[in-house]
Amino acid sequence: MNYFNKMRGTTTSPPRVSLSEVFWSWIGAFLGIAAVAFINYNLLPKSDLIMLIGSFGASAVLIYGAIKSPLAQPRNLLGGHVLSALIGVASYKMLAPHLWLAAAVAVATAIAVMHLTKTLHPPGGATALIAVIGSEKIYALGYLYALVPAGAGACIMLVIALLVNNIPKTRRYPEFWW
Amino acid sequence: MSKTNRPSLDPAELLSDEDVYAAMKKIPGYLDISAGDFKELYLLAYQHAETRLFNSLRTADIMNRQVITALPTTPLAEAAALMAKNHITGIPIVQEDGTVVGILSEQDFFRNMGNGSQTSCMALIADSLVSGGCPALSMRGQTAGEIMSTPVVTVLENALLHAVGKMMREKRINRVPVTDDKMRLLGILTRSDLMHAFPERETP
Repeated sequence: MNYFNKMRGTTTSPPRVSLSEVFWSWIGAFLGIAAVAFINYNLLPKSDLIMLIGSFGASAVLIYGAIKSPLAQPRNLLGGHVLSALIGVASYKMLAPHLWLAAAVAVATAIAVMHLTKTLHPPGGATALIAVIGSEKIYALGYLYALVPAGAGACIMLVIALLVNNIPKTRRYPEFWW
Repeated sequence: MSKTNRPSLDPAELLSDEDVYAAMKKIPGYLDISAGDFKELYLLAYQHAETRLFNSLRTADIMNRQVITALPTTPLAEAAALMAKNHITGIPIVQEDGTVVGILSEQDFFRNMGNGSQTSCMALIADSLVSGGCPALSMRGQTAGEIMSTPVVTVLENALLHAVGKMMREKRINRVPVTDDKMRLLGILTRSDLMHAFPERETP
C-alpha cells in the first residue's frame, strides 16, 4: 500500500452503543468525578493537597465509557497515572525553565514507559503534561504528585468503576487486573 | 488447493467487514477495536490455531488401524494379488507374532523384474516390449520375505505428525508402519492420509 493510499483508511467506524450503555457510562462518570471533585473542593482546600487533575476527565471516558478497552483496565489506569506523574515531575525538575522541552520530554517519555510496562493509558500523557504546566500547588507537591492526586485519585475512580460497571447484566469490569 | 464451485470456507475470503460489524453490534458496550483490526486479528488467530492443532496431532490420530499385511513366507503371486485387490501399492510384511520385518511395495517388484534395472511401470513396459517375454517370470516361486525392503522405517503411535511428515519427505517414502516399541504393528500411515488430514497444506 503506498504512502498516500494509507491515508484513505480501510474500514468503517465501530457501531454506536446502546442507550443503556450511554446511561451507565454517564452514571459511572458522574459518580467517579463527583468523588474526586468533592474531595478536592470540599475536603482539601485548606491543605496543600489536591485530588482533581484534568487527566481524570480523560480516564473517566475510558473506565466508564469504554470499559472493555485494554487501555481502561486497572493495571493501565493506576500504572499509567503513577508512572507518567513521576516522569512529568522529573522532567519539570530537570528541564525547567525550558518548559517547552520539559513538556515534550514528559509526554513522549511517559508514552514510552507506559508502552514498556504494558500500562498504556492515554490520560497518563496528560498527567505527565500537567506536572510540567502545573499550578503553583502542583509544583510544590514535587514527587508527591505521583501519589496524590495521581495515584490516589485513580484509586478512587477505580473503586467507583468496579462498583458501577458491574451493576448492569451486560457489563463487567475489569477484563483483567494484571 | 483445487478450485471448486462450493462457497469458500477459507476464513480469509469468507469474512467481510460487514460480518464483523454485525458481530460487534451484538456485543454490548464500546469495543475499542476497528472492524479491520478485528478481521486481521481473527485471521492471524485462526492461522495460529491451525498450526497449533497440526503441531499437536500425533500418528495415532489419523493412522489406519485396519492394515493389510502378508507374512514373509507369503508367495509373491499371492501378495501381488492382495495388493491389486485392495488397490494399494505397498504392504507391511509381518511375522506371526505381529512384528514388522519389512515392507513390500511396487518398487520391490520392479527391482526384481527383468534385468533388474527398471524402477517404474513404463520402464518395465519398454523393456518387455524390446526383449519379449514376461519380466515377472523371474520372481515366480519367490516369497514376500525374499524381495521385501528391510530394515523397515517405522514410527511410534505417539510420534508427532509434523515430524513424521518431514521424515517421510526426507526418506522419500509413501507409507510408514506404526508400531509399538517392540516393533509390533498397530497401523499404517500413508502420505495421502497426511494430505487428507491437512488439505490446505501441500505436504506437512
